[in-house]
Amino acid sequence: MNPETSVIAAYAVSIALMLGYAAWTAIAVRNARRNERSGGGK
Amino acid sequence: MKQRNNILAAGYWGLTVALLAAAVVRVAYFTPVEATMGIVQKIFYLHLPVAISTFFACLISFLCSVGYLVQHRKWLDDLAEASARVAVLLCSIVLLTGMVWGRSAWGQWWTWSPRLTFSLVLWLLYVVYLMIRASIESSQRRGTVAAVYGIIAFLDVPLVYLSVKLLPDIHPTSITLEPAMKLTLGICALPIVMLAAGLLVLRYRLNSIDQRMPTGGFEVMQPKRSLLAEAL
Repeated sequence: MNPETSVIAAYAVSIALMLGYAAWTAIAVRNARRNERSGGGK
Repeated sequence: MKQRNNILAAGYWGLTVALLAAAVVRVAYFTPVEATMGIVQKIFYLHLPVAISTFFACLISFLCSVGYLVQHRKWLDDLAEASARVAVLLCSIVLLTGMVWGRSAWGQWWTWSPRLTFSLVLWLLYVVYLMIRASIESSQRRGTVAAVYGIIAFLDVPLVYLSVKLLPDIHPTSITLEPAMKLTLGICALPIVMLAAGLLVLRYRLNSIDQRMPTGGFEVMQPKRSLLAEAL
C-alpha cells in the first residue's frame, strides 16, 4: 500500500467509525425514547 | 422545548460535520508535505487530536468514578460508562492510525515501544471495564465495582503520556511544526473534539433513558417452557 492510499484509508476509516458510532447511538436514543413513550415495552 | 433541543442537536452535528469536511480539505490540499516523512505525516493531524480526546474521555470517566464512590449518584455512573465507551472507540482509532503511520514511517505495523504498549494496555483496560459492567446485574454493585476499576484503569493515562519522556521510545518527545501545519492541527482538533464531546453526550443520553426504563432498556427475556415441562 503506498503512503497516499494509507493516509486516505486512515482518515476514511477513522471518520467512518466516529460518525457511524454517532449515527448508531442517535438511532438507539430515538428508539429508546419511543419505547419510553409507549410504556417501556415492545 | 424538546423541539428546540432537537434543532440545537442537529445544528451542532451539522456544524461538526461541516468543520470536519473543511479540516479534511485543509489537510489534503492546503497543508505542506513534511520534508522527512512525506505525505504519511498528514495522519498526525488526525492522530494527535484523537489521542488528546481519548485522554479527556478517560479523565471524565475517572472523575465520574471518583464522584460516584463519594456521592453514589446514578448520573455519575452513566457518564463514567459513556466516557469509557467513547474512550475505547477513540483509542481504537489512535491505535489504527498509529499503526498505519508506523508501517510507512518505520516499516512495521507494530513495535513494542513503551508508548505503543501502554496505549494498547489502555485500550484493553477500558474494554475490560465495559466487559465488567456487562457482567454485573445489580446496578448498585455494578456502579461501585466499575468506579473502583475505572479509577485504577485511569492510572495508565499518565504512563502513556510520560512514557516517551521517561523511557527510550520510537515516538518523538517534542514536535516542531511550521505555522501552516500548526494551523491545520488547530483546524483538525476543533471538529474532532466536538465529535468526541457529541458522542459522549449522545451515549450519556442513551444510558439515562435506559435507566428510566422499567427493564433497564433491555427487553425482559421470558424463560421459554421446555417441551418436557409442557408435556408434564
